[in-house]
Amino acid sequence: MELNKTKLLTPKIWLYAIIVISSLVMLFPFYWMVTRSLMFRIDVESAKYFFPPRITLVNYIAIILNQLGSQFSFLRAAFNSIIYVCFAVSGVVIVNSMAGFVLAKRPFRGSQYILYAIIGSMMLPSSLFLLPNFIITYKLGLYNTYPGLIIPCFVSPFSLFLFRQYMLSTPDSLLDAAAIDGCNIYRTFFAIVIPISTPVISTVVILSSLNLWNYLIWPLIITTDPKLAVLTVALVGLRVDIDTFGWSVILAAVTLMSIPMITLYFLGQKWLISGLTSGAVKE
Amino acid sequence: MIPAKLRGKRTIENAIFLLPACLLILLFKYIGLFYSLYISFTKYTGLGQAKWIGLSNYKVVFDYDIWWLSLRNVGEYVLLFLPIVIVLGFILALILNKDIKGKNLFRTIHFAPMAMSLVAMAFIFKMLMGKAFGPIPQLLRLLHLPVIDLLNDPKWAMKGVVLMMIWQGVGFRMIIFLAGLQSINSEFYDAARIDGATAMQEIRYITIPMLRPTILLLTITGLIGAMQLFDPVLVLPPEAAQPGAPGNALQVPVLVIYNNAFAYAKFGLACALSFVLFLIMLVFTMLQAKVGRLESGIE
Repeated sequence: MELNKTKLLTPKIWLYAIIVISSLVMLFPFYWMVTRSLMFRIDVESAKYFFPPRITLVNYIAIILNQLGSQFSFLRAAFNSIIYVCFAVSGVVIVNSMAGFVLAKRPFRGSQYILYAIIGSMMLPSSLFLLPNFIITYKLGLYNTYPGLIIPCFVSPFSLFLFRQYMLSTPDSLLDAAAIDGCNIYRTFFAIVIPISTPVISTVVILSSLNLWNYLIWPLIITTDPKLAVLTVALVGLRVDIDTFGWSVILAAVTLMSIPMITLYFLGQKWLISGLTSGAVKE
Repeated sequence: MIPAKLRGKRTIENAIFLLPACLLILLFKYIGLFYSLYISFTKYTGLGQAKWIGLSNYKVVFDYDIWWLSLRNVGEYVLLFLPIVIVLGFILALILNKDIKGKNLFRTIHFAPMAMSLVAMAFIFKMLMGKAFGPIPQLLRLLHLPVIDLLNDPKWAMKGVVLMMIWQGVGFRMIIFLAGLQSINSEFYDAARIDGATAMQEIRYITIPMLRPTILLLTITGLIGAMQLFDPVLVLPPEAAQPGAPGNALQVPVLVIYNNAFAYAKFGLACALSFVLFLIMLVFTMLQAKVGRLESGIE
């Protein structure tokens, strides 16, 4: 590329040195998390080993079978997290893609004001909505329920905006052809618009999955029943047990919790980056 | 042009598509906003009726020591975190914008912590920084440096949070800067090179001025994000201590709001605090935007 003609004073070898060292620093916490979770507690606490002297899965077994007597069952929390993320992400995609489509391709008198109102709500910090959303959800009788946990998370003006921007470029000729062939709006939307919008759907799915899987404060306040705790909440609950359980067990739980999103990140990095740079705003 | 009957049908169809999103945004954003403004003028325990008490909650805010301390703490955090993370992200982006072998791999590695939850990361860093078994104190010992306690020493606890958040956030800044760098027209560099500019001069007089909007954006979003710091302060404090420990070093605004609402059942005060926090963010954002505009106007 043309840009790369820019030369630094320093020879290239220094650039490699910096980026390699920086990468090692970035990888180190991952390395530590995985290796310590595969070691016996006694080896971790001897603090002598950089490389694990021996490998064991005992920590993973302990955490999965909940042999520790924690009030949180890891499997239950993992199940809750999966339910939470699957339903909330589906909701985000369905609700916001439909609205984004109308705002992009079927404008009507006053529709721009709806768009302004949506963009306006995007500018306000999320901490402002935490308490009112709690009170509203509580008054709707949804406190400590799955719907109460999930439905408020459908609200994602940023996703709506991404959908709208992307769908602006849906060719009108395609929509007209569908109309001439007798497709109604529902058929047009689900059979034509949705399939050609896979890039933006992928972006929204990955961004929301990461955000929601890793979300702490909303599940923390809206569910106090340990049976409904998602992984982040269950993990925070483990803080007081570090000395009892030992670091190797805690890090096994942390590793298990991180694997799904790290995998998703590797699969969908392209979509994630396009989402973050197109809006250049992280919610 | 379109018959009235068809227009009616079109309106109904549009409404069906728009309503779910609009109702949710109306309820959880706009009604929520005004509702919490109302709650901030009341005494409300979360149960029963809210009782109107006028500006009393806002008066309490003025003498609320922990609240101002939490703002100071978060200020200390921002002043350390933002410059470092932006400069590091910028340097990484400059390097990865060059013809470097394996740059996709390097980019992936630096961006990977984005996929981690702050809770998980806080546990990892608690292990890394812990005095008993953590590798960071061990490294300091090995280098014969003073062993600082990034977890239990009130003077250092916030620096521990900064360390962890830099590790998590540097990749995001790098990605945004990379996008910015790629949008700079290469003719500027060609012209500079003909005039015999050094690489440092190119960065100083072309790259940084051209990236000013990016830097401004990262500053504002970084500031807003930092003011809402929450997750790490629940995990990092020592086991026996309350969130926000050691001392009150990790008291942050969202934790104070959280405690008031859910530990002390003072929803009115908590809502008032949320609005004060919002106003502070708004002032900073407008100042930043204004300063940004002024600077680019002068040059």
